[in-house]
Amino acid sequence: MPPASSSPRPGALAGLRVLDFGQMVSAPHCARLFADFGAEVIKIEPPQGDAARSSGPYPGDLPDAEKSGLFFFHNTDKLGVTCDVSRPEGRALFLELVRRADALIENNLPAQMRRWGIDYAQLAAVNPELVMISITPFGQTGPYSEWKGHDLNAYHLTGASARYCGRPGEMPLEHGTFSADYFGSVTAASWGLAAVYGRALVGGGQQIDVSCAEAIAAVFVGGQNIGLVAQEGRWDSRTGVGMPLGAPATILPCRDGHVWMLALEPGQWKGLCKVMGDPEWATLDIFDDMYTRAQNADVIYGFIVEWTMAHGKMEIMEKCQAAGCPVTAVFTIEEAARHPHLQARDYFVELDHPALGRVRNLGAPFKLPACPGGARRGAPLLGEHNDEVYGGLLGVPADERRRLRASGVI
Amino acid sequence: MAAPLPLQGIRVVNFGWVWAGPVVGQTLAFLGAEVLKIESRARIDMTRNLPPFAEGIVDPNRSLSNNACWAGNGSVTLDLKQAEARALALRLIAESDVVIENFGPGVMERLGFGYEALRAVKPDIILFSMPAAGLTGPLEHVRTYGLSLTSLTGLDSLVGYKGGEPIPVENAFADPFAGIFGSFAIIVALNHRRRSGEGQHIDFSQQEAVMQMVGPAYMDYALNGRSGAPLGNEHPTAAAAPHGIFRCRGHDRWIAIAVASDEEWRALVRALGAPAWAGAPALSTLAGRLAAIDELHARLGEWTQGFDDRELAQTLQAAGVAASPVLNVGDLLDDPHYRARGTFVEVVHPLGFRETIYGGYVKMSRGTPAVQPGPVLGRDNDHAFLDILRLPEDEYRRLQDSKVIY
Repeated sequence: MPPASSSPRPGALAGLRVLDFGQMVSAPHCARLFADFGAEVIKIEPPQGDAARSSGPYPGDLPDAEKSGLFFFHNTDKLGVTCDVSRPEGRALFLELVRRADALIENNLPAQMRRWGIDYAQLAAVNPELVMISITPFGQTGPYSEWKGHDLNAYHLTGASARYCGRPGEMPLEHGTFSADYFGSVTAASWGLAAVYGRALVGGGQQIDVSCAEAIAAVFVGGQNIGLVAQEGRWDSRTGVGMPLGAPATILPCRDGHVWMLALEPGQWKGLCKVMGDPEWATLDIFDDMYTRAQNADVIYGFIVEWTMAHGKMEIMEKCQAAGCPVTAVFTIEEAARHPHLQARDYFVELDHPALGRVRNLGAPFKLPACPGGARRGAPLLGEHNDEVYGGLLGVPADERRRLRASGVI
Repeated sequence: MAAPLPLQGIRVVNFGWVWAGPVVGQTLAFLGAEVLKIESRARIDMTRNLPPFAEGIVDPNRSLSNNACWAGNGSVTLDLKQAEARALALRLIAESDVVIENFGPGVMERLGFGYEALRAVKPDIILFSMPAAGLTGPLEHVRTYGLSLTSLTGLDSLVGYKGGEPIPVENAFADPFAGIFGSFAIIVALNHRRRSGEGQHIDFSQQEAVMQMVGPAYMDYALNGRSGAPLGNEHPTAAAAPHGIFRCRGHDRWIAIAVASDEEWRALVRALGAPAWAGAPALSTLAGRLAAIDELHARLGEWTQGFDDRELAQTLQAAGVAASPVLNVGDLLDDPHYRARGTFVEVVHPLGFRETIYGGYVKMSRGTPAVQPGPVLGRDNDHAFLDILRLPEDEYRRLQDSKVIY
């Protein structure tokens, strides 16, 4: 492992110093995006560590705060320090870091930040150039802003699940991952980095208030639904089928898993029929266009499944794609992770970590040829860079650091 | 005069169409950039024809969903099938900082807008391409729809009821996600340009960007070789229990309850009125609750079904439990939280009707995002051709009459 260093790394964001005072997914992922492209990111954890360290996946399911896959994924390329901001000496160290930072990314409850005395007003007094990026389930203002919330609470407050996922009459579904946190993270990265970029133009730092719920309610759900609600007072709900108005357009089982079956436009439908061997049933009038096919969904899906069940997902995808039909295999995680396409594009990177060993990680989320990004170093151990950051950056003498460590401040 | 926004002075030419590409432009516009979306009456973007229409009048300028999803983008009409139109587009690019496109690989080259051609007219141009699976590689020409793109990331294999088959998400979560994420990529490239003077061609594979969302499940594969499967609404990394959606009183009413700590569990037990079953010692730890999660969720669902979702959320929040109502689309407009934050706003469209769209969904303490109604076709033609390119009036009219500008 290359030695940790606080000198600027090459990269588009080199020279920016970002503090990550978040836990779990949203803020840490957002800060990692800054790290991916060269910013120096200092992760500030409470002495007991980011809550993600208490979550798996762990190798062999054996809990170990230094081996959390959840923590690793969201914290690569960061310097790690510990700080108990609830104690005056901890808060003072925190403010010293803030004084030297371009951005702070956090996902604590607004009331908690006020209790610690590190809300935006107090931080701006220390560093008016600071961009404070706050990512919470509900946001800094509004009646739910002091509610406790996790990713699940934010996601289901958006209309997205009731509208778009699950069978009618059964419970609405999220996506099996931290969808609200990730949506909030990329939203905060974009708006937050813009605020850093435009500091000279707008006259200094500011607070960027991201509500994960609001971003999804607006852009994913609101865009396509709110006009109908406002104008006509009606709205739609989930159907359990990919696209209820056109067919085929849904996930269907096949011999070894599932495929996303899509053949809406005439050319696509013709392509699919050809791949299926131009079966007699496909010539029935009721299957003439995507709408009549949808009106006879039970019949057509029955016929198609008879065919898909006799074939493998990758074969179906390959043949349909070649015939101009946008059918894809529903990749398992392993199939996605091993796909030759992603290998050919060098999407994966190997990283070394003192506790986890060598880890094959996802690489940069997008490719910038002039200033490539992506993780180069594993996630920090708890407090791994206390000496480097408090000693090197802040100039706290060694005996003082020992005292702070002994008293549990760091 | 309004306070300046952070991307003021940045000009963007947006060839993006349908949803993801327009969202990239919209995000930059909210942040102060000037965004000129190139489109044409000769080939109306399909999303302009999506119902419902304002006041029920069918017209590509009146699609309510399109107007909301594109708001912030300007509109410059050029029929790119004509050489003169392509030349004008290139002249606009020469006066711009960023070009956005979400065609398939190769389309920009065929139009004469490949990166080298753009660089020839604007050496530091940032070209942002967002094809489904990137600009290169065995799947570079893969055909997907926004709503099926997630199948290539592993995400779709995780969505569904516990123990059941994958359930499709009925709209393209990937489109707005990649759209906003893409705007971040562009701002990163703007930073690089400021530092180095260099532009570049960004290869933004939607597959790779969206695969970030499967990071936790991917790590279980990397560390343990496991692939994951649908878990309903259970916690993605088993770090909370109970963690789910529970039925409440009324049609399709539900509450989301997530208990991450033992302290939150004790708070929930108190709110439940400390029934005997909840006092089982095994349930006092996360491991015990995870082991009994099916029964735990069934018990909780029996209890919640008699309550109003909003009242119960308030009660549980007061007790210290993370609970929130599960909203449907019809709840959004009148929800007190979204009202207080001004999430949705009514604007007057230039054609005279009122439309409700979303506004600045992120709040900035300096400046307010500029909210504009959905763009009328050709809204920015005068500005583009007279102010920016300084075409003589008669030349501008000739190009309109010959449907180059159309």
